[in-house]
Amino acid sequence: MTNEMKNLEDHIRNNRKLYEEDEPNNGHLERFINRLDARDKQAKKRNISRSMLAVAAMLLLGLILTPVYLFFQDQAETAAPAKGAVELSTIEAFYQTQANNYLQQIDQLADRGMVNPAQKAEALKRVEELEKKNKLLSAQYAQLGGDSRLKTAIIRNYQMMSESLNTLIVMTRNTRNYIPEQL
Amino acid sequence: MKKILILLVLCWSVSAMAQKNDQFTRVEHQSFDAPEGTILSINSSFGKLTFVRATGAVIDVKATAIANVGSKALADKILDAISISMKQKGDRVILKTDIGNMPDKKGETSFEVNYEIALPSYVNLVIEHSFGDIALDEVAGNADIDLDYGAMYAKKLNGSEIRLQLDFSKATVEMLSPARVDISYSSFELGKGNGLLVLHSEFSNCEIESAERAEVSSSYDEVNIENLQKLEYNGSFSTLKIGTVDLELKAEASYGGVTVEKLGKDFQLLDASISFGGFKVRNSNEINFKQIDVSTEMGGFSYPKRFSINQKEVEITSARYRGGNSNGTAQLLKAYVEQGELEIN
Repeated sequence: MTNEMKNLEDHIRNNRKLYEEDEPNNGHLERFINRLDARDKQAKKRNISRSMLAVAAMLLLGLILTPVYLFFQDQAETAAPAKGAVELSTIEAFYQTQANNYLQQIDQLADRGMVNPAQKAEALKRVEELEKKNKLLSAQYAQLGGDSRLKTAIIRNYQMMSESLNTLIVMTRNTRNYIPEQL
Repeated sequence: MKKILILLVLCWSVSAMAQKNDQFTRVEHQSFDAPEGTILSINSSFGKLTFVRATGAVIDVKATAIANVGSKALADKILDAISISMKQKGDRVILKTDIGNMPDKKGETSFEVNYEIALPSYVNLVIEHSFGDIALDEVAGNADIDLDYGAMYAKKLNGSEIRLQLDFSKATVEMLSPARVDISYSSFELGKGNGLLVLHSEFSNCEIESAERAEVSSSYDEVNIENLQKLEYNGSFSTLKIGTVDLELKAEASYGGVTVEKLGKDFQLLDASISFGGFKVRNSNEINFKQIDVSTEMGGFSYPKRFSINQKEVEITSARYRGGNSNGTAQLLKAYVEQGELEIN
């Protein structure tokens, strides 16, 4: 132990009273806990008011942005008719190709006497009628700004067009006078 | 803090999207005197027609145009494009929906025009409706209904002149007086048909529980009839199934099948022309025919032993079967079968 340490120890021992008087007063712990509680509450208050501020800011932002969003949405809805039209033409192209394929098969069956001219004429007439109907529906679809009910109707028409041609082919092939192509 | 921000942004997005589903309506209401003989003529689309019984001699109409969109501005544009006219000219009350140009709706179903109509049952109906439903209770007046891309339910159509035309639609009628029904690409269900039913059908399904008499022309259909007294059938590429036919069956069928489960005890006449298809009677109910004349060309005929076939002329590709039993209860079995089969059990 150095001399300086020894001197300090001696000093504390000689002046014990001086140090014992500085002990905390009674109820120190309770006061300490109360102080901590108060500090926590203050901190929470600060946090809540920050959250409230954020909510208020977001609401304000929402109030500003919602009409802006709706305005641009309205503009887009009013000004952009092209998407539906493109979609329709794709659908149309798909079913037209399918129908043409079936019509070719019916032609071949007719050439071989499996489908009679009346049946072929009837099938063509049906295709013509459904195409005519679809033209009207497509015009109405554009007029009504792309209504889903019309789109569904157009698709159903095309599906029935294909199905009707396919049924003729299948049922002709299922009859007993059908001779397979490879023979 | 970050979580709160994300939550708020999500809330805003959802609330902005939810704006699309707001409902804006315009209601129009009018009443008309409707003495007997009144005709109600409706030309409408994109909505429901609901008919209820009125207490007096009055037609009461409530029409509601509805726009389901996110903003009032857009709703106004849509509702402005919908015009509803209601007027009376002599004995005719005329309701009409006209729809003008509408803003682009990105493929949504954003509007409808519904009619609620209270009317006396005797009012005659002329309805042309598309893209929507029709709900009818009991109609004692005449009805001429043309429905495209919709659905219809009617409890009773009892007028003396009934005509239904369905395209791409579905209809259920519980009870029908003599009627003409034209359907294509549709389905039709009938509970009970009184009198003559004239049914012209293509690419459709028909389910009939019972009918007195029916004339059915059919192509590419499935027709099921549980019970009827007399049937005249002309079908191609169709399948016809009958539960019981009580008295008469005349059929011309090509490229399709006809199946009869049972002939009634009092059955009288079977006259069939079959080509490229089959015709089968599963249970002929021990009936004997007074006269039988069946010809086949590249076809077949099978029959129960009790049938007295006296003359059988069989050649390479054709055959003729003639005979009959003078004690038979049924009058005539006559058939021509080409590239097909007639089978009676």
